[in-house]
Amino acid sequence: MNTNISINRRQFMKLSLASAATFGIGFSATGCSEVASGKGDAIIFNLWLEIAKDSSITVIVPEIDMGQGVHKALSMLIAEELDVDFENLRIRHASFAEGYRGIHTGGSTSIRSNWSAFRKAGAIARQMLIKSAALKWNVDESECLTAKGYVQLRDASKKIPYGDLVDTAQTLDLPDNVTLKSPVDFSVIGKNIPHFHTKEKVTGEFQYGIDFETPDMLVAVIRRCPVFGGTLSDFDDAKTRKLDGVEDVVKFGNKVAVLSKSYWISKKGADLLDIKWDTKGFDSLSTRSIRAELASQLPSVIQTTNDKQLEAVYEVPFQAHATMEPLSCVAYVRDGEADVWAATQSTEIALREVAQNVLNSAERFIEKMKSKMSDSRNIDNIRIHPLYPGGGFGRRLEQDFVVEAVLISKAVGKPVKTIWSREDDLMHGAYRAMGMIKASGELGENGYPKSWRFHLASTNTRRGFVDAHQRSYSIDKFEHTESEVQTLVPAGYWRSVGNSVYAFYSECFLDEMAKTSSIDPLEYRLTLLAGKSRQLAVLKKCGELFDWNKPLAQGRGKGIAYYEAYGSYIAMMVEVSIQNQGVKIEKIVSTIDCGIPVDPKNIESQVEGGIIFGLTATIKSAITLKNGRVEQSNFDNFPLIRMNEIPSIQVHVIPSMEAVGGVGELSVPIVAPAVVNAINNATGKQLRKLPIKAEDLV
Amino acid sequence: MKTIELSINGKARRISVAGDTPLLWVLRDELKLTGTKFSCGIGACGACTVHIDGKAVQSCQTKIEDIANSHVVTIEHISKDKIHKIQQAWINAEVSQCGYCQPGHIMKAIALFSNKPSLSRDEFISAMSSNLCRCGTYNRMINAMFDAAPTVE
Repeated sequence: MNTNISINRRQFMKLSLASAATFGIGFSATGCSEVASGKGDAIIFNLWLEIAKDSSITVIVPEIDMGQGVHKALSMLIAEELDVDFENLRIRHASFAEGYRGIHTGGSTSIRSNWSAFRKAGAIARQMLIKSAALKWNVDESECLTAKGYVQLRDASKKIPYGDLVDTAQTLDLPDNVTLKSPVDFSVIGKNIPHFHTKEKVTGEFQYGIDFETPDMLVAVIRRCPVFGGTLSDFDDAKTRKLDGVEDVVKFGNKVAVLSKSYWISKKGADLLDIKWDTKGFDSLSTRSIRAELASQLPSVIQTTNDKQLEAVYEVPFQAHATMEPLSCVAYVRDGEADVWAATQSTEIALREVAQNVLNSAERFIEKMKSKMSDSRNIDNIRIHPLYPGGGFGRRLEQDFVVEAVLISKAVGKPVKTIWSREDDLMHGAYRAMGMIKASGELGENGYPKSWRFHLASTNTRRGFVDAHQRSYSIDKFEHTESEVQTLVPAGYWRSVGNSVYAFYSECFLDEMAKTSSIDPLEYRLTLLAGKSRQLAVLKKCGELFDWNKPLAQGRGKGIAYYEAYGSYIAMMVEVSIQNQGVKIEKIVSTIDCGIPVDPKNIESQVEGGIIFGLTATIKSAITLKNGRVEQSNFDNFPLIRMNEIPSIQVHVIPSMEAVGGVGELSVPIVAPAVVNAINNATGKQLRKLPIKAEDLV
Repeated sequence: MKTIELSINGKARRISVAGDTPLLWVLRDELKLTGTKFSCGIGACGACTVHIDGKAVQSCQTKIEDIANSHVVTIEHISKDKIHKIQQAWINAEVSQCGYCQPGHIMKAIALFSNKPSLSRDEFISAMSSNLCRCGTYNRMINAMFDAAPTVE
């Protein structure tokens, strides 16, 4: 049965855009009752789609696609309700100039937050196109239907492409009601449809942030103090300036930039700088010193009952994002005006931070007052142009790389492109926090937990949030407290954020409780999730595909982890074998229930990709500090999992009609506990610290 | 500053740059061929892979002064006339996520199969491990070469 929805006219609006050659549907998140006259005065409308007179359809996406497939998935929502061929859709990033309030992509929210508005927009447009055709043909709307970009009469005697109806559609009012398709009728959503952009990505045509250029641009390579908190005391650029091609050397804050027309010259020039850093008082910071502080914040556990008590301490290191595309930004600042091109995950934050650095304080005050009055986040003379990132993983929510380019351009009055090296990226990252956790719990006589408590001591709690600590397990008493050790190590949102830490210690501790009670860890979880159908289904399917109950050979182990976040459910089972040189992950099976799967093949890719991303952090690499600086600098000392190191991976997406849940980050958190639980099972040890290294198994 | 003569994508070129400039930056900055990517600069990731005289080479590790008179082919030239079989297999298997590392992987794969059409799955995996993918698309690459299209010429 199709769903009939009433349309709130303060929320949806048709838009005649500047060119008047298109018919567009926009959605207002603010729900203001006044009508916008054009470029976002009283209301900010988020545009979802434009239909042009030549019948081309442009989907305007308010999200960044960094490989997680959201541009395709959001377009599928439009294609479904609007009834057009998917291949004919074009994509454009939503921009401030069109009255859009800013893109901010993260938290696995792209589909969930746009699901309803995108479907409605497509359905509204389709209905108005039908009405337009009905008017043209002087028939009742019920005589018309749509067929992949055309409106036609039921008997197909008349047919007209959408583009030819744009003029009429622009004159109509929004409908009072619109009908959304029933999931059982979906012909696009949930189907396997070829990905656009795929061809450009294999031919080298696809453009990323680092590929962008403007005329007369200078390329900047920056030197930053390797010790967090250190300052620039002095520098000698005599050798640098003598290098053929170097055009300028710019000091800004505690950094020095070398500018030329090409990366290589700027890099060589930067290498020739003789810089004196003042690091006194900052160079004793180390992983060891931080660990000692974290440990001192862990509470003692006091036994208050006669129940069997368990206690354990877990440890997680700093982690780096290491996007394949290094950070880069092109900025052109002049006379209080700025254009910024960057592969950022947030044009919203970029705008704010660029404005802070470009506008003087009086201008900032005026902009602030304007934004209060009209809820407009437009700042006309500052334009952020989002580019496609070669990986984001949360790193690009920090705009440090944007601000640097802006400051240099402001200093030289020319367009400037900054390019970070891999060393810059790993040593000046925005890291997933380091933490130590005290876990404790009491077991009932039946071996199941009566209570469990965690205290997380972390170097950053703000960028370490967890979706929901309390999950579906039926455990009477649950407590989670946090404390922070302040350091100068920059913190960032690492794919899955606090879930990446929480899943590790909670799922490993649950396993310890199961082991103490001599209960199979799958059975343990099934019992604790009794009565919860989606949760049980995810675990049971995983067990079936993995063949959990099959006995394993000597030297092998199996592990399980289960997690809920972003409105989705996921289970993972891992088989490992102990070898001379360390652990070998033999196979991983994962099942996911993310509600209605929009793009199933891509969901599989995201889960599998997240597994490989999580594996690097579980058995390979971490960020450590010594003498106030990061010890890792490139892929030789921060290696990533390679093709010859991946296990057999099987991902199963559970068919569902439930509300859409997030996927992009979901598989990362459970890799570590599933693998560690498997290693503990194989070795009889109780490993509680990441990453697992070969020497941990000797 | 040196002037080096070599062939790039079938065209004779005279490049005037510092002799130690890596081919990667000659391609990207001098010739505006941005399909070849920068990611690590130390030859550890393969994003910068090109063909030099038919072999897969990491262009960030190749100084322009060392390859005078050679024939360089970049990703842009592979599909100049029509899409390559390997690129088509990659598209069919929907390998790419962010896509940044894909040109490097594809250049490596093309060189491997050109030199040994009967390359086995294990040989492929072993050789391709010179290239990194942070999005984790490795299995799809293997599927593209062996499961979707069992014989790749």
